[in-house]
Amino acid sequence: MNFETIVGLEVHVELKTDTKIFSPAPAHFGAEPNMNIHVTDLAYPGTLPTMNKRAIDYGMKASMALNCEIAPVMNFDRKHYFYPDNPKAFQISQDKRPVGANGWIEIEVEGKKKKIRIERVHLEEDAGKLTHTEGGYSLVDLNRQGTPLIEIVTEADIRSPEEAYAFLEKLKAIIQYTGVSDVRMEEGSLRCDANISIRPFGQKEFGTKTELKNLNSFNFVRRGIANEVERQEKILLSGGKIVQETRRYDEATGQTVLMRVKGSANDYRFINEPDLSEIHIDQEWMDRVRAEIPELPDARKARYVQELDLPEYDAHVLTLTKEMSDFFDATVKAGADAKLASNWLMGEVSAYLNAEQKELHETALTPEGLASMIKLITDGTISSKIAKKVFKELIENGGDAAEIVKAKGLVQISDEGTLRTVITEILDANEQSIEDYKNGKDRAVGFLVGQVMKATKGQANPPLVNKLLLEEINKR
Amino acid sequence: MLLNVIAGNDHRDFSSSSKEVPDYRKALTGDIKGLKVAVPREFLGEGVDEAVKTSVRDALKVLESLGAVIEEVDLPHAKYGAPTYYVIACGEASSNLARFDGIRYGYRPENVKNLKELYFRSRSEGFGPEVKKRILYGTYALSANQYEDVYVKAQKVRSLISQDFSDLFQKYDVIVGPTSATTAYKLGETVFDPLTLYANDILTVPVNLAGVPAISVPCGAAEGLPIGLQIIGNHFEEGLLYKVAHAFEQASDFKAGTPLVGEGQNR
Repeated sequence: MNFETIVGLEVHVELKTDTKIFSPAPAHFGAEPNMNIHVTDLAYPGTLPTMNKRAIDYGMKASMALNCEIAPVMNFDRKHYFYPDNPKAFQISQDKRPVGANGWIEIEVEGKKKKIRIERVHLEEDAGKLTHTEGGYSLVDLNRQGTPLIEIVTEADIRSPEEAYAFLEKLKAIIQYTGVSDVRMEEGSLRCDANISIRPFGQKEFGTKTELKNLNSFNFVRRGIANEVERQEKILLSGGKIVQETRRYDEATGQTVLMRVKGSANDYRFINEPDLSEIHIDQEWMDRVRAEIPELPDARKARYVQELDLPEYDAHVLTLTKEMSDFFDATVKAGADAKLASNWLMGEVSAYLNAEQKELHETALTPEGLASMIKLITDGTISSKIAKKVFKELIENGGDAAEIVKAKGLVQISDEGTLRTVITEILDANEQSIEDYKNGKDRAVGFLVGQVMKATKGQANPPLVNKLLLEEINKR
Repeated sequence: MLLNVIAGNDHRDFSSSSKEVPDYRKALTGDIKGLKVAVPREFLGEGVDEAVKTSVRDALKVLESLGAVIEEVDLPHAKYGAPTYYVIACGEASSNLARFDGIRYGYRPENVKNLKELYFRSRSEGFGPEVKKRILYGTYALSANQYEDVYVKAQKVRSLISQDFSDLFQKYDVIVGPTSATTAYKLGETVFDPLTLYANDILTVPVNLAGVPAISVPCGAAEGLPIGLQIIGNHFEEGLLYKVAHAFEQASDFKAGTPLVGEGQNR
């Protein structure tokens, strides 16, 4: 029997606000435990939550970028659960009236485009962090308590691990463009749980689903879903039944492992948060937030393909992060050829960033610098080979390509007289190669060109060398 | 004067309004000519003591003599006020008090053997019977099995009560009635009869649920026990309440500060 995979994702994204969502404490990482806290975070009796308006702005911004409708009136609710990471014994979240609903994003897998619907986007606060020590103690750090989050819940529209991967990649790009979050999975500012079920093809009803947690990278999401689907198939094919449970992906074994069976135990007893009155979002507020959303990846991608004639692939890669895309735009604006700029960014620049584990803004390279170099290539002042030397200088120390070329004497030699002199010397010293060439060994020319390039420290104009070399050989 | 100081926006309280605060003292003109007063039939109906009704009717005559226009009206959902209030208030209480577990906050018993016992005994020994009752009732009301039938329904009724008030304030300036259905009971008298105890709130909880302001002023006594006149206004109409209360006080025999509790026969 063939089964269809059904996946819905719940993605938590931490918002990059200065202060927490309901208290004036800083919402930053890296402080000593329990330093970024306020009496409200500690739930001192009598304290009241205050509302961080920027968190609402950010929630709206993300919702709009995900094509959601914005609630004209929203409110907060208390979700009750008793655990030491949560001093109030409830989390302030949004139940019935979330900030955003009914959105979608478009993904592309193997050339096929597909819309994944987003059921809702709601605002909530993060909980504290527990560290369980070997001595049997659990340490509570409440720095993270109250950090603003949005939870993005998809409809069960995802049909394969690859679609889940494509969805997350796209979601990450969109959120990152809006600037509301760093969306770094490794730092926990993006977290993902997957609800997974399978059903025989053609069946209408959904199968029993399991929830998969501990997915720490997009690749683990893909592998975790694949493994869980495989597990469920095996059970069904052997006549068993799927149990509704929460499972964890074990990175070491690549298997999913049971965490807990879901009973009716989770009863969150939602109530309206009486300390936060309803929030009315008028058109003016929505317009203001919408105006702050930059051009999003899909729009940029389309522009690159249509206006700059870039291949789809280039457009996709360049728009994965806003930083890269902004850099590309600025490079083109500074006068660089679009395709060359794309080649350099996707090639040498990316390779350098990967090797050095750096981000673009951590290097000395500027769009103007890169453009100045590309212009020198286009007008024949330097060869691609010399460009690599210039590039290294640009990305490490910055500056202007023309000046680097001048200072280091890297200008391409395109003067025929100079080149003929060098070529004559090389030919005089390599009579055997001339012989070989005349006997039909074309490879000999390659060797001779190499010798010329070496003699000119790579500065000779290669096509010109080729042409002049043949002329000179034929004279002999 | 006190309200002048405490009213207005508190940036630490998101539920406070940023509306400008008027000087309430300027409202004390004594002039209420043409004031449109609504008197809900439900507030002078079943369950309200005769003595209370008489006092309130006398008070209405005083207002009328000052030029107010009195009309009887209906406040149809007010009778559901008390049960609605107890569902919501107990639900919120169960939520608010969850943090008093002996670890985070509140009373902590001695000589406990383990965490579970600490939680159990902190809450069993630390809370009084009324609080425990409300926590139990509130938790029950919010539990999944009856959530829709109890809590969600209570929220809907609350909206209806609130709507009743807004409807009346379209046509009337204030709503007037007794503050309490009966005069004070003896100390300890009805404590073991919670329903009677809760019923005493029926005339005030609808006001709280609707979130509108009200003022209570003395308007008489029965067997030496005070009877209160409740004047209810629309949102942010505290000034008007002061005006009406002040006009009434000036025109009636019951001056502010007059001790009405007489011979102490109920002490």
